[in-house]
Formats: sequence, C-alpha cells, structure tokens
Amino acid sequence: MSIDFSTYKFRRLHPLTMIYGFITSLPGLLFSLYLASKNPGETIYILLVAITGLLAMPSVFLRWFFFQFQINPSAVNIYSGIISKQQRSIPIEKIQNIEIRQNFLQRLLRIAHVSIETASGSRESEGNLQFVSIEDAELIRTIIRSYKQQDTLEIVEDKTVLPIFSMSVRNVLISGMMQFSPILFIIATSISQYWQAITENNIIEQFTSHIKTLDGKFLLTALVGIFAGALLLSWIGGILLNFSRFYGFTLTLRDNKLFKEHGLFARWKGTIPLKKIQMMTLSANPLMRVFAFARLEIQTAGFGTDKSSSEIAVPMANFGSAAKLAQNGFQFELPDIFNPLSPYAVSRAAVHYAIICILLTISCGYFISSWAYFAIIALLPISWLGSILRYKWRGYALDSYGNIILRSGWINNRISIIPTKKIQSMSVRSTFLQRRLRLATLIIDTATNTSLRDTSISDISANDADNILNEITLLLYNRKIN
Amino acid sequence: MLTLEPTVKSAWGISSFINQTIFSILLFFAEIILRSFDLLPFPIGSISGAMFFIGLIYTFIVPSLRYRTTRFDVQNDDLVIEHGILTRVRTVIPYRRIQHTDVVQGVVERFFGLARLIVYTAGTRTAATIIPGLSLIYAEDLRNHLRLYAVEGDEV
Repeated sequence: MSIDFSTYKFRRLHPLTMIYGFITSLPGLLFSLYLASKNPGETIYILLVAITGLLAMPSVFLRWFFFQFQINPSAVNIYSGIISKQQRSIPIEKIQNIEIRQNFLQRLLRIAHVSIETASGSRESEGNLQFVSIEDAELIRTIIRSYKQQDTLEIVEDKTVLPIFSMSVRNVLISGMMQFSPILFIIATSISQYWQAITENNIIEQFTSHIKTLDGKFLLTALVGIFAGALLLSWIGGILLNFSRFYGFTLTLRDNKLFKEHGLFARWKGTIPLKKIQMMTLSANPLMRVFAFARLEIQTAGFGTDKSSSEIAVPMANFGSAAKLAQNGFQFELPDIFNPLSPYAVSRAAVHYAIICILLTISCGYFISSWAYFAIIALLPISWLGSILRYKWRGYALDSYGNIILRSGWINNRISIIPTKKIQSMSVRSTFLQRRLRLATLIIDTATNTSLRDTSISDISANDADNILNEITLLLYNRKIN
Repeated sequence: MLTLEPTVKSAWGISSFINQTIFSILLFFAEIILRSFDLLPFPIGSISGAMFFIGLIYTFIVPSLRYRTTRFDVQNDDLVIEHGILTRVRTVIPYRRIQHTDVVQGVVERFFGLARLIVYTAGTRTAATIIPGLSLIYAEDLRNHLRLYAVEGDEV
C-alpha cells in the first residue's frame, strides 16, 4: 500500500507496526508467564502477567492508534501519546538528514524506521516514524527532500516548461565515448597487473633458463599490451557508467532555478538557484576538442546546510550551444583575445615538466626495464612542446559584464567564468623561483569549493597580476557606488 | 604598508621554543620505548637531540624573517595582508566581504600584550585570514572599524 502524501492528511503508521510491537513485547510476557508458572498461586506474579497482558499488549494498539503524522511543504507534524499528548512540528528547512533503518525482523515485515534529524544538539533524532512501509519510507524521504529544495509543492515536473537542454540516447553514448576516467583506468590497470603477476609466475616456472634473454623486450611488449587492454577496459567501463549516470538528461529553467534530471537506474534530481551560482566552467578534453564539444559545470555556494558543490549542467554539447546555455546562469561574453601569461612561463613549465619526466623515467627504468631510459629522449621535447601549448592556451580576460574569465589547463582545456561580484578575496602568490622570473599566480577566492586550477591563473607577470588585482578592486568599488 | 609590533618576534620565538622542546621530549620518550623493543638502531637521544638543534635554529631565524615579511595595510575599501618567507602571498580582502572577525590572544601573546586579528570571509581558501602581532588595543580598534562594514556585507 502506498500513501498519497499530496493531500496533507494525517496518516497512521503501517498496521504491521502492531505485529512488530506484539512480537517484540513477547519475551516480556513469556518471562512473566514463566515466573508465574514457577511460583503457582502467588498473586504478585499473576498480577504481573495481567499487567503485561492487559496493558502492554493493548498499548501497542493504542500507541499505533494515537500516532499520527503529516508532511506538508513547511513542516513535518507528529501527534503522539496515549494519555499525555505530544505535538511536534519539525520545520522542513531545519531538517538535516533523513535516515531509513531496518533490522532483520523489520525487513521480514517490509517495514522501516524513518528518523528525521535536525541540527539540534540532542542525541536522539527529533522525528521517529516507527514504522512505515519501506516504499513509504523512500517516498517520505523524496518528498521532504523536494520540499527542502523547492519550498513548494512541485515534485512533478511542470510539463508546460520545456527543457532548455536534453540529451538523446545517442548523444549520451557519444559523450561517454569522449570521456576518460583516470580512476577507472587505475582500477583496470591494477586488475591487469594482478593478471600479469600470475602469468609472470607461470612463465618463470616454465622458462627459468630463458627469462634473462626475454627480460627487456618481452616485458616491454607485455607492458604495452597490458596498457592497451586497461585503456580499452576503462574506456568501455566509462561509457557504461556515463550512460547509467546521464541517461535521459534534461535541464529546465523555471522560477530562476535550473532543474536537472538524469540517470538510468537511480534517477538523479538537482536544483541550482541562479543567484547561488558562483562561477561556471566550460571544459573539453582533447578528444572532445576534435569534435568541438564542451561540458558545462556550474559551481554553487552551499545553500542552507548543503555543502557547496559543482554540478554538471551540460554533460556534452557543441561548444557554441554549451556557451549559450551557460548564459542562462548569468550574462557573460567570451572574448576573442585573452591576455597571455608572461613568456617566462614557458621556461618555468618546461623545467617543471622535464623534472617530472626524468623522475618518472628513472623510476620506470629502475623498476621495470632499462629501455625506459630511452624514453627520456622522446619525452623531453614533448614536455617542451607541452609548456608552449600551455602558454598558448592559458590566459585571462575581463569582459564587459564585469566577469573575469580564466583559461586554464592545456591537455584538458577549461574556461572558468567568475563574476566579480562573487569574488570574496584575491591573492597574489609568488614562490621563490617565480620571483626570480618576475612571475606571480593570481588566486581568486569564491564561496565554492573548487580546485585551485579553476580559480587561479599562474605564471602571469607580476605587473599584470597587480594590474588585474587593481582592476577587479575598482570594479568591486564601483558596484558599491551604484 | 604597516608592520607588526616588534615584540611579536620574541613572542613567536618563545612559543616556537616551547613547541620544539615539547616535541623533542615526546620524541625522546618515543626513542626510549623503541630502544626497549630493539627497534632503534641509533643511541637514545640522537634523533630528539638533532630535532631539538634544528628547532633551535628555526627559533632563532624564522621569527625575525616572518616579522620582516609580514605586513598589512588598512586601505579605503580593503584590507591587504602580505606574508610568506619563501612563497610570498599578498591577499586583498574587500571590507564588504568580511563575515565576522575575531581577536585572539594566546598565552604567550597575552604576556606581551599582543593579539591577532582573524578575518573571516565566505570564501573557501581565505575563509580565515590572520593578522598576527598587533597590540591588543590596535587589534580591537581594527575589529571595531571592520565591524561597521561587516554589517552591510553581501549575501553569498
């Protein structure tokens, strides 16, 4: 049985609650019966049996009968008590957490304990619904969550407002093909390495005499094979994960809020109030760049008690339409020309990459095969090329709407758009080496919890850093006058 | 740009010395325990002694360097704080972004009549920015000055 919560009627708990109550109070009854049978004729024990039988058992029914609850958009109301009545009202916005618990017996009866917790210091949860059916428990949780997010009774999508963005099955699959998840790759590599270890042992057993001649070349081919296998495995895994996550993706704009919904097995719903948006990021990995695709992420400040978060607003779309969709968040203008980093940035990055390459090669050469030493020769020009690409891509600009726009990354390109009015503070940081090259890193702090790469621009000249700092300060100051 | 109270060097030195000493003593006990299980290849007191010596050098050098590199400025619209010995950081906090402020005095600081001002913003990285080594009166004045702005601060 499922309850229709939309009418705000007071409800009773699930009738099986009584069965559960009888079962759990059985040991007490049996114990008093046992005592009575041990001491026949003694009135005290007969009285005990009478009390447990005539009071405890009916109280299970009475407690169920007098316990009523109601969930409306502003509060959860619970009326309880047989003789002394208690009315409790828990405001929806104060609810921190809704927990659904089930022990073994409750699982057999298909009932669940819903506890509603608020931030108050008490150790016990403020609202306890013992018990409702497991379906209702889930429903209660969804309903309270939706009230908490919207403060209105609009759980069901408003069909009159069409989504501003949606993804077909084909597009979800394509977007999965474009993704590459490093975590999946690590998992796949470790699986294949486990397999490698087994085969290696067999080979050692079989070809102990040949192992020395096999060493370098064989291990290198095995390594390349394993690498390719792991790559394929993680790619397919990534497609499947992406599909189950973003299946049926829709993004709707209504009442100054962005609503997104997606997911194949678990339906995922999110709300982004426009005025809580702190910044937006357009990103594209190398594969996405080939087809001019981009992803849009929106970073928000925590609202209510939720932590600040980064939400994927558009998993994948043409760069142009992704940028256009982003305009719904706040107005901005992508400039054609970005202010470049200091030319010294190339040398600093090249030295950085070279050090990483050398360390990587040495450790590979030491642990795996001396062939890896030759990789240095190939890697050093690549790292130099990388630092030039990095210099070319990265940059910053101020647009006419008063947003600061940062281009970061160079393998994965990212464009972050931060409105000046959302800036909390700014820092200019320069390490010992950066000061020698007159470089600095500008760090912009907003109320979001994003990684440093999206809110900082490194290796611009120290002069430029000071200038942009002054410019932003002026913008902040002007807004104050307006 | 304003500098800190010069007495802060002594305050930092003393608290650093206390910390280093406590750390070395704890290390010394750890060494005794490890030695009793035959897990320590060095004689007792070698590691803790070395750490104490390093700490002593730190205590003599770092406070004055820190004092010289830490500066702040109370400008028309924002608070500017500079700090960092190897990595220099200059932070600009607009007054209207300040959520609230704290004036904190440690034991050693109280002895020197010093205090530090902690400025909180809604940001994540500069959520709490510290200006150390102010005289208590100045810190309280500054706090009262900043409080005027914090009232009309913006919503996130």
